[in-house]
Formats: sequence, structure tokens, C-alpha cells
Amino acid sequence: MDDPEERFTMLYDRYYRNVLGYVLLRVEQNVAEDVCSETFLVAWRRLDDLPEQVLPWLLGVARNKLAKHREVRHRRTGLVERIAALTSEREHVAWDVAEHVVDREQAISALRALPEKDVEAMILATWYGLTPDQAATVVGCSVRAFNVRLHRARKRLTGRLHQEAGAARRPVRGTRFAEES
Amino acid sequence: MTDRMFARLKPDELDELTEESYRRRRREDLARTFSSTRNPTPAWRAFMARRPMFLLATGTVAAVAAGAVVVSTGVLSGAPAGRTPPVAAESTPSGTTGGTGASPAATRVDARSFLLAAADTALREPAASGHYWYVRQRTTHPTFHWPEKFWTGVRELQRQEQAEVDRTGAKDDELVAINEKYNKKLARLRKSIYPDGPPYRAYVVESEERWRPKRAGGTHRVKSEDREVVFPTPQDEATWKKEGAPKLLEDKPRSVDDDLPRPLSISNMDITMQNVGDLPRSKKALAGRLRARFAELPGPGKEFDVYLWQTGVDLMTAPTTPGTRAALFRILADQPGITSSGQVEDTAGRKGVGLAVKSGDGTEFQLVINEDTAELLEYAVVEKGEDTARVTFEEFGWTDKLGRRPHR
Repeated sequence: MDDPEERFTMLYDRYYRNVLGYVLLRVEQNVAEDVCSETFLVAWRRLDDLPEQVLPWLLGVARNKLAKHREVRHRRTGLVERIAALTSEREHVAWDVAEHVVDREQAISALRALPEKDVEAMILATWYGLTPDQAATVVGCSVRAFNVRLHRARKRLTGRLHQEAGAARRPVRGTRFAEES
Repeated sequence: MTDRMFARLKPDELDELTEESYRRRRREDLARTFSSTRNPTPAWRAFMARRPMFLLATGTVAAVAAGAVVVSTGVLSGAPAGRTPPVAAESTPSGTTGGTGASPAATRVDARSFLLAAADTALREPAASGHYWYVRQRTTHPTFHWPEKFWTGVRELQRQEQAEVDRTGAKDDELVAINEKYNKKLARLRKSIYPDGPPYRAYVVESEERWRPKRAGGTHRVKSEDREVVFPTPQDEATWKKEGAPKLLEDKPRSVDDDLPRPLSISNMDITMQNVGDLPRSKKALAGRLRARFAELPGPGKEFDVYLWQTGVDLMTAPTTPGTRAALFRILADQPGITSSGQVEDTAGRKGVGLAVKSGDGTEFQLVINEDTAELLEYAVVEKGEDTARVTFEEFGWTDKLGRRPHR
């Protein structure tokens, strides 16, 4: 594909939503959209030099822009609070974690116990499916350090949920669905 | 398990917001972009220089929380009412008849010829369908109760670790060193409470029935029953009592209905109840697809043999077509690492052929397959000679009514 406009449009169509989703975890919608568009503008300017794995690169650029953004520096809301805020009431249904039934609130509460960088590691690995190599480039740390964060997050989350589910005997909450007839 | 759960924490609203924004902004964004000039810049390396990767403990299949401990070998004695006790180590090789039975030594040739035969057998099974895919299984896994002071200690260590990370600014190398230090402290904590290791062994054994809807958005049901704690020996039970008979069974509801889609295979999140029947039926096409999926999985430490074993278990217990199952057996037949232990019995006393594969750290993954039907009877994960998980499949098939078992 030779035409740069075509190439860029494909990039935009494919990754705009991913990048915006990532930025929305940090800032509100208006700011998020601006940061996202600026990120793609950078991609346009560097179109010929983009690496093969574009998504991690885009996320890295977006992350840098966020760090410099005036709004973010003054923002108090953490990553987990944003996730909690974006989670609608109807999503609070029960599901299994190993042998325990845990509802979403318990899970998010468990997340709050994690350092933010570890939560981010989980997000990049599980929501974006990035490999440790790719994710490390996004956050700008070594692969080794990234793996430690991810491993720690998983371990803590499992342990924490084990406690949450065991400690609180909560009834299964959530909408009931009509049985199939 | 944690990754899957975490992935489901992603709020739906996020996707809704991004979709709406994309639609609203696309035309203007593109127009604005193309009207700006592109300044050619020198080539920009976006990735860090590669450094040696730190291999964390991988290969742990069962997500074992800090408290659960793998206990020592020993056949579980004392059958619980009406149930055959699970075997703590390998399935027992069945007796020989007529003088020369199957050799208990694991053999490579037997594995391959058995798997090829199983492929033909699988192909002969009739294809079926229905509204719900039903699976009933009996699972055994080790359990243990750590006293409250252990959990207090764990929380304190986590707090200390985090404080140290905050103090040092969490630079890469320091982070790794801190992590190693606290892992060692955790091991010492365990030893401080039980210097000789956990004093008793116990297993939770339970049955689970699951109805997976074929229709997207249909009702999914999981029913749990006959849960019990089993002690391998009377000594284990006596010790447990002396420790205050702590609760080993967590409370949980007997039956849960919801409409959440669940993956059929955690290593292959793209396979769903809706598309599993469309998986390739030729060895080449299926192998290509599995290899591609394996390539996408995060490393390090991933092994194709282990991935294939796990995927195989998932596909053998999912409503795959006979053709896909046959192709799967042919792929397994080609794997050099898979060995056969000949005729064995599963925990329920059913006869089958035992197959196994070992991962790099010595963990053994076992399968027991019914020779006549090529169906999966049981699988197990064995670390250092002890089960960390053993699942016996009692029944699976299609049914049209939620809560009903298939007619066999």
C-alpha cells in the first residue's frame, strides 16, 4: 500500500478506539479525545518510521502526552476509580473466581489494594493483549521490571480475592434471568 | 484465572464511549490530518534495547493462592460415601491379563499409535447438537487452612514491600531485587508457622454440572454438589482436629445462573460456543491455527507441548465436531513429548489409556482417554509427584433443557 493517506486511515480505523479507551482511564472524555487525536497526528508525521507493532507505540505516545498534560497532573482520581466510575450498575453481576463467587465490587476493591503501576500492567496484558515486550515499551521500563509488576499483580489479586471471598459471606447479587423453557 | 477475571473487569462503557467518539470524530480528524504537512523525521526507535528477560516462576497451571499448599504423596484411603477416593499421584495401572499386559513404562511408540487410532475412533462418533452443552465433572484439589497470623503476616509484608518500592522510586533493577527479597520473606513466614511444612493434608472433592448455552446471551448455569473434604489418612484428620478443625470448605452457592459468556479455552479466547463447531477438520489447518494462537501468547516460558495439552483438554470437552477431534488427535500424535503409560484406571474406576507430557520444570500433565469412544475421561496436573488438580469427567453431551442431563 503506497498511499500514505490510505495507510493512515487504516491505522486510525484500527487503533483509534483502543488508544482512546486507554486514555479514558486517565482523563475525562473531552481531554481524552484531544490527547488521542494528537497522538494520531504524531503517527501521521512519523508514518514512514512506525514500528511493526503499532499499538504499543501509539499507547506509549499517548501515555507521554498524558504525563505532560496539565489536567492529568492535577487530577486526583486514580486508575481504579476511573474503572469503578465507568462500570455501570448492570455490570455488577456475580461471577466465579476459582471456587469462589465474587462480585464486581469485591474485585474492584481488591484492585484498590494494588499499586497503580501494577494495575496498569494487568490492563496492558489483559485488555490490550500486549506481550511483556510491547507493554514494557508503552510504560517505558525494562521487560524484566514489567514482568515483575505483572506477576505481582496476579499474585496479589488472587490472594486478595481469596481473602475477600472468604471473609465476606455475601449472597449472590445481580439480575436474575428468566429460565429457558 | 486471574487474567480472565481481570479482562472481564473492563467496563462495557469504555467500549461504548470509544465507539461513539470514533464515529463522531473520524471525518474531521482525518480531514485535519491530511491537510497538515508531514515533516519527514529521522528514523525513531520506539522500543527499548533488549535486556535479558527475568524468568519468573512459570508453569504453574493451577492458580494457587498464597495459602494453598501442595501436599505429600499418598493414596487417599477411606472412600467417602458412595464415591471412589481420588488417587493422590498417578492413576493406577490396571492389572495384566494373560501374562503379558501393557508395560507400565511410558512409551513413545504406544502414544503415537494410540492417538492415531483414537483419531479414527473419534471420526466414527456421530455429530450431534442441542441448546446446551452439558458437562459433569468431579474435581479434586488440595486445600489447607493457614491461621490468621499467616494472613496478617502476608499483609504486613505486602505493606513493607510497597513502602520500600515507594521509597526507592521503583527503578527497574531495584524493583526486581525487592520482589525477590519479599518472596524469600514469604517463604520464611510459611516456615516460621510450620517449620516442617503443613502438618496435615486435605483435599476438596466436589462435583460440578455446567450448562453452556449455544445461543449467545443464553443462560449459563453452574451447579455444585457433593462437596466434601477428604483426608488421605486418619492421622491427617486427627492433626486437622488438633489444629482446631479449621474450616476448609468456603461457602458458595449451589447453583449460579447468568448470561455471561465464558471462554471454552483460556489459552484460546477466540473460541466460543458459537464458533467451536466451525473449527478446522483437517490436521494441517487446525495445527496452523493453534500454532498461530500459540505464537500470540505472552512468553516467556511458554511451551507448545503444554499449550497443546491444555488446548486439547478444552477442545475434547467442548462441543467440537468429530472431524475437529480427529484432527486434534492427529496433531497430538505428532508431538514427540507425549508418552503413554498404557492401560490405566481413572479415579472413577473406568479403564482408559494414560497419556502424559512434562513441562520444562518437571510438572506432568496427564490424560486418560477411553479407548472405545476416544472420549476424555480425566486429566490431571502433577507437580513433584502430587496432584495439584485432577478432574474426572463423568458425563458430557447436548441437551435441550437447562437443568436437564443429556439422554445417553
